[in-house]
Amino acid sequence: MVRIKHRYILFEVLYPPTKSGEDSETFSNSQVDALLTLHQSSPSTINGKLIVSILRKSIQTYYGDQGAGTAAVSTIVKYWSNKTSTGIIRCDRSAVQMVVGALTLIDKLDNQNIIIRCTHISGTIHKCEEYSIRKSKELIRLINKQTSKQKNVSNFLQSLQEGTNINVSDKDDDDDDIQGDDE
Amino acid sequence: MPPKAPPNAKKARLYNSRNIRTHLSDSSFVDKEKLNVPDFLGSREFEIKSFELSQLNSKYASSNRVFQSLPRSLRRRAASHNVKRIPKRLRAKALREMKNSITGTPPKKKHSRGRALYKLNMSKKLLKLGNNLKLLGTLPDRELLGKKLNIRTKIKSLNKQIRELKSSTNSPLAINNKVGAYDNTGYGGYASRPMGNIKYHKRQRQFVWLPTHIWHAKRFHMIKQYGYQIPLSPTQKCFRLMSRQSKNDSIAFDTSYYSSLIINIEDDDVFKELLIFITKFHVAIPDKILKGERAYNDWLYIEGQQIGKGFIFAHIASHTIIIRTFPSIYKDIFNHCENFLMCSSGLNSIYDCQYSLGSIDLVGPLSLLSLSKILHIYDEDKSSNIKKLWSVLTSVKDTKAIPIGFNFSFDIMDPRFWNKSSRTKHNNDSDLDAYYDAIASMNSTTFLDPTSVKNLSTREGRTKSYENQMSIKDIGKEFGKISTRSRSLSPEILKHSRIPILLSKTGDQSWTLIVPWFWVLPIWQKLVKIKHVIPGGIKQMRQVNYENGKPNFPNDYPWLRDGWENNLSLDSLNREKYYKLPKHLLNSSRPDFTDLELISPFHCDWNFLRTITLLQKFSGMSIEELEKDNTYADYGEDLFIRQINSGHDLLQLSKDVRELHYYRLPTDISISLFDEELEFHQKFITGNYTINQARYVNIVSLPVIQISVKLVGKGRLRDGARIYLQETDPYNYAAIVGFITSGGYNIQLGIASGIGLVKADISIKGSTTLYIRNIGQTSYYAAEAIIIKT
Repeated sequence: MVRIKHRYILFEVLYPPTKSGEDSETFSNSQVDALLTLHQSSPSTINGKLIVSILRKSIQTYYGDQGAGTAAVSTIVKYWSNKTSTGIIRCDRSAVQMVVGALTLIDKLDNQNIIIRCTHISGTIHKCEEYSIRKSKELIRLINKQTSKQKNVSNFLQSLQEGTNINVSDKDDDDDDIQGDDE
Repeated sequence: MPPKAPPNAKKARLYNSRNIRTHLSDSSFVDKEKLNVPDFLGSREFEIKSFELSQLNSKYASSNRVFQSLPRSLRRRAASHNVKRIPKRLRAKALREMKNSITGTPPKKKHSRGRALYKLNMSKKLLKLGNNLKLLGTLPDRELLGKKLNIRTKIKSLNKQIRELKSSTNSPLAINNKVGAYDNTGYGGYASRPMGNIKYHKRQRQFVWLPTHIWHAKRFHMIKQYGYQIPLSPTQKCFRLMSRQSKNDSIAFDTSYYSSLIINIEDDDVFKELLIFITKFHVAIPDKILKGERAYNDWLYIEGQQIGKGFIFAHIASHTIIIRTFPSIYKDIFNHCENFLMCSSGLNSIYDCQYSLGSIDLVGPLSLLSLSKILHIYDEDKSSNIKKLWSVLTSVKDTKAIPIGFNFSFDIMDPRFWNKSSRTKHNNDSDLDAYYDAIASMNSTTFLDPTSVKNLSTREGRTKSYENQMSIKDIGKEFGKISTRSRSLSPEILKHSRIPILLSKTGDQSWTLIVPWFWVLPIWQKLVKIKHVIPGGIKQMRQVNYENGKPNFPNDYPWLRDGWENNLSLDSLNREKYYKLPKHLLNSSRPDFTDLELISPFHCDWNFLRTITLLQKFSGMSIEELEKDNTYADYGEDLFIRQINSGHDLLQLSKDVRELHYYRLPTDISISLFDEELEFHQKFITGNYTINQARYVNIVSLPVIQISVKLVGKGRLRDGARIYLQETDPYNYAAIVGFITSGGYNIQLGIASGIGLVKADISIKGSTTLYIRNIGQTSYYAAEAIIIKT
């Protein structure tokens, strides 16, 4: 009657801006830019198998043979999406800490500098999916809000040009980039 | 290449459910790139959709029978092969499933032979005959069912009865309906036990079934107490659910086991005299109670002694008093009232309505609201005022404005005539004003309909309410005639039955609904279907009382006869259980277990407390003097009584003193509730009393006061825990000042709390700190104590 219990780790692969890369100028322009830069889509060379193999190497490096024997054996990638760079890994309940630690210490995937962020751990894949749905909805809402704000600002500037009075409803325009909207 | 999908459909479905699709798994299109906003949003939305789809697939991948999709509370164990255990709406589908699958078909039942077959046939015949009798409108012959006759004789006599009925139209046992509802009231004695359905009457010989017994038996654990079968607790776990419900929604209890008696007194003075006789009032009864506007919900007295709490509804205009009490003290109250009536003048009568008046108790903030959804007032012009006031008062969820003891009495229509529960209609425009008006008018107008009071309190009235009571089949037929969208039956049928009820507010958030016995089940069936209402048993009542800090009858009242006997039986039961343990588990080095005859670790030992306190007084020594230990025992002139020179002597003497006799009988109950007016109690709290001989301890009862305790920090409280004034040696039993009668973890407060009794000479001002130690434990917990006014 012993049930083997697992843990499902929801993680995402983030692409931080590098000094010499193309994204470094536009990264800090707005929140939307920052989000879009971080959550880029991954190249097709990265798939579930590659992630598992790199994860196992990472466990071997940082946790040694003991870690490799216990944690690395039962980790598999249950879901991986290139477009959104999110995935779900399944591992043993006792090995969660090791896997999460090894994940965070991975800094390169297929010669790309990446950060792997573990967003949620739970005992069922159902709850991980639910959490991911919530997070995605939140992200969509954020981006929509920001883009509508930007639209408001650009409309306002346009109206200034034209010399008409338009009421701008939102008062807190803290992170609007005026320079980004050209006349 | 993805692995090949398995060919089997079931396996394929399982496989597909485990596979979560991703966006564009084609390799040529995806590359590392910063997406623009619409692409990004699109990819996220696709991911959300695929997750939701996978959840849906996996939900239905494994469970493939319809009964597996039911919620926990509707699932039954034998539903897989017994279609009757599945709700009606899913039965057709379940039958189809069973036909199609191989494992789902129920096994062939072997039919019984010989004696067993004969017995089955006979009992079937008996049931059929019983049913025929019911349809003819009579009850089966009472003597026949009471005796231990064998089944052939029973069938013969039932057949005879049916033949007689068919030949002559009159029958002494005729009733006015086809469902077997009749009024079972005792006049000039106690009422005879109800028979119930022929099918079940054998089981009801010793213990009477409540009207809702069958409904409860399917969902509750039952317990046999006080001559009734009472629901104890639901079969499913519900501790936290009940505590939430009592705070936010409501809990319903079938309390038909509370016995009632009805007294009719023509003379007003004798009326008031009787009330003074049994209630706490000494001189005059308040006007509101006499008029029936407020009910009396307090202690009942016999010869000045408190006997238990009861509910009294008095209506001087119709000369009726309804007294409703706990079944264990009912007979005493009945006899007492009967004696009073025999000695007084005038036309008086007393009726035993144990089995003719049933009741439902509701606890929780939404109780009145739930009741308003099923109680539809019988619409006649004279009671339209009550109807308006009722709808206004129940429109507001907060019922604190209604005073405790407030009574409603009106006639209602059969609640089964409504398909769904609906709130009483009221105008929305002047809501709050109407509400305040209603509250203001509560003191001046009455919410009692005198005809319904009369109907409820007389045999004729109750029997009339049962006239042509419809069975579920009849109601089903009526519902079949109307369109499915209508909420209730047509107005002509709505007036078919007229039920008198009495609704009274018995506590801050608790209500009692008193109805005739055979109407309890229809009301109950509709009540529990309301979302806010959950049925409960006596364990839940105890839990609700405990969480609100109220003492529970009978275990928190050990100075009353019921509580005392409860305590003693606990002792004997626990003792038996303890002696059954294997020898190596009998740990007698724990505190309280060192000397089982000195102090009993199995219950609250009030005898010990009384003996120790009084012997201490007898010895004349203070606690410090008693600390020193003597090495030898010293006997004075009286060879049976040890001289008290040390604490050890005190404890040993307390054991000997129990066998000593005095010319007066020892008191049954060794404690009594502190009463300021009693001389001995006044002396006790100041310490000015004297005990001349050691034998006297057996005839004096110790005054005690009831307190409610709350632990200050962490700790556990159990029943029977010992209360001390300071932390001392746990083996020093002489330092005990009281016991906890019910203790545990109070989930509403978040700390352990309890109710107990301590000696009356302990001064508890404001909130004193006491130290409590559980039975068999050595650690002390600090607690705050507050006196409860009983």
